[in-house]
Amino acid sequence: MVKRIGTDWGLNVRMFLTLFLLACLYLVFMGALYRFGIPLGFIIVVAGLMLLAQYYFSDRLILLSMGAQEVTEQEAPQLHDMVGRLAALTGLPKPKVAIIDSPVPNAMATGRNPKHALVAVTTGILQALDAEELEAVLAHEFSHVIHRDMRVMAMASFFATVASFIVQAGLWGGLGGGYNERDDRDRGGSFIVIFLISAAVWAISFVLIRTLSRYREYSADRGSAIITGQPSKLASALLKISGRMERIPDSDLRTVQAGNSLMIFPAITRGSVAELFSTHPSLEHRLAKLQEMESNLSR
Amino acid sequence: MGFLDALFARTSLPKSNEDKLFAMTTAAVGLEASAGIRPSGRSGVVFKRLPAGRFDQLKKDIVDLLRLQGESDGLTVEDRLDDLGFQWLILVGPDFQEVVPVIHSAATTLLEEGLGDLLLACAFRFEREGGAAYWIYSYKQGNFYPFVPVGDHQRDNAEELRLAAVAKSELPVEPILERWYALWGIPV
Repeated sequence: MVKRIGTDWGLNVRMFLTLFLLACLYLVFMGALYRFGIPLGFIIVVAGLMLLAQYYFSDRLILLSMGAQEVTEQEAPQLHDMVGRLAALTGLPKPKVAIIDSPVPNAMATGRNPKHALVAVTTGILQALDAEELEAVLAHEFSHVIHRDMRVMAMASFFATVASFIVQAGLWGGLGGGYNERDDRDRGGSFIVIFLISAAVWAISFVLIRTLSRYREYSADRGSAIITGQPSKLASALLKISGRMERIPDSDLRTVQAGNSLMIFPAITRGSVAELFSTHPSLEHRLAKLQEMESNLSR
Repeated sequence: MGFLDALFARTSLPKSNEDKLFAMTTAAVGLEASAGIRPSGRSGVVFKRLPAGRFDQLKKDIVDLLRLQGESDGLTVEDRLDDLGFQWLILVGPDFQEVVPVIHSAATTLLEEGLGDLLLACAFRFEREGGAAYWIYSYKQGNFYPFVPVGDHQRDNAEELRLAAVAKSELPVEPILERWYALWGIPV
């Protein structure tokens, strides 16, 4: 499981498809095994082993697929310094540090527990942010490690897969009882129907998982604010990462408004449906929460 | 807005805007404690110039008015023209309780002459660690927003976001970031 900051639709879609296809593969495989009369207990053990392997190796797989390179203290002394300081501050063992060669500003934490944690940043984020903003982002990732979000999310998707498998098994039991009397074509037909239903169950649990994920993002934001004591640094980092730092304009009030009373400001409409499928809450919501924390801190 | 105003494309400003400016009188004290910035004693109002002679007379009247009002409170008035050809009237005096009403009366004079469209903004200068921070009051929006210039043509967005968050309970802060226009080379 990977945690990211900022919204990157291309990556989000790819991630969704990967997970979805992976789940479909499981379902087809399990369904086929069950269908060919292999005992349910054995199938569950196999499924368990496969998911366990995924749980242990998925973080490394994802990092590998993103081209993350672990860096030594000599290669990235400042980054290591910062990570070390945050580790000391939060009482965590110092995680491994990796850099991803990508212009898209992003950061992530992986690892099933704090001992195996790894924090990765892209070269893009190193360029985009100043030291304090980067620290706020790293503190956000540290919060994910502290909250064990990688484990929570892995568990959640595990249960989603299990749930859809149970649905599948149940339907086979109900529909497939007398399949011996039917011809091959019929069997193929019910196979597809059952598969579609269990895929739908998985898709619904996927939306629920995303909801859970968004709440964990809020708590990681809160964690970052507590660790650094500067919510506004994370806020400006988020604005920069999302490519919307230009929202605070460089243009001058005098040149913009000189004789221009007809100017209209575009209304910002945000699709709530889009947010339903997103692992991260919208920037507006996160900024609003960070602002709340900032004003609470000063009280 | 009446029919004639519409015909001549005169925009009238909402009345409530005037009260909002006065939020600064009480907020200044709180900002010092919560945001760590303190009033520098310089504040100003900026408006567009008109080429006509009537405008010059009006401006002179306003300056005289400000001087008259200010003198009793120990305020001094600076009359500046900036690089973009905008007129600044700058008040030097530490107490916002005195400064804000004087600025307000300058704005009111323009409004009463039907020249409210010329009014752009008020600016209040604060000192913070490492430089100046401004609170800008936009007459178009009737809200305040922070402006923290650093170096040449750059602004410290993180600090601006922090100031906005902290001041939210005390000032009407412009919620739409796109409207936080800069005032480069601000003479206040």
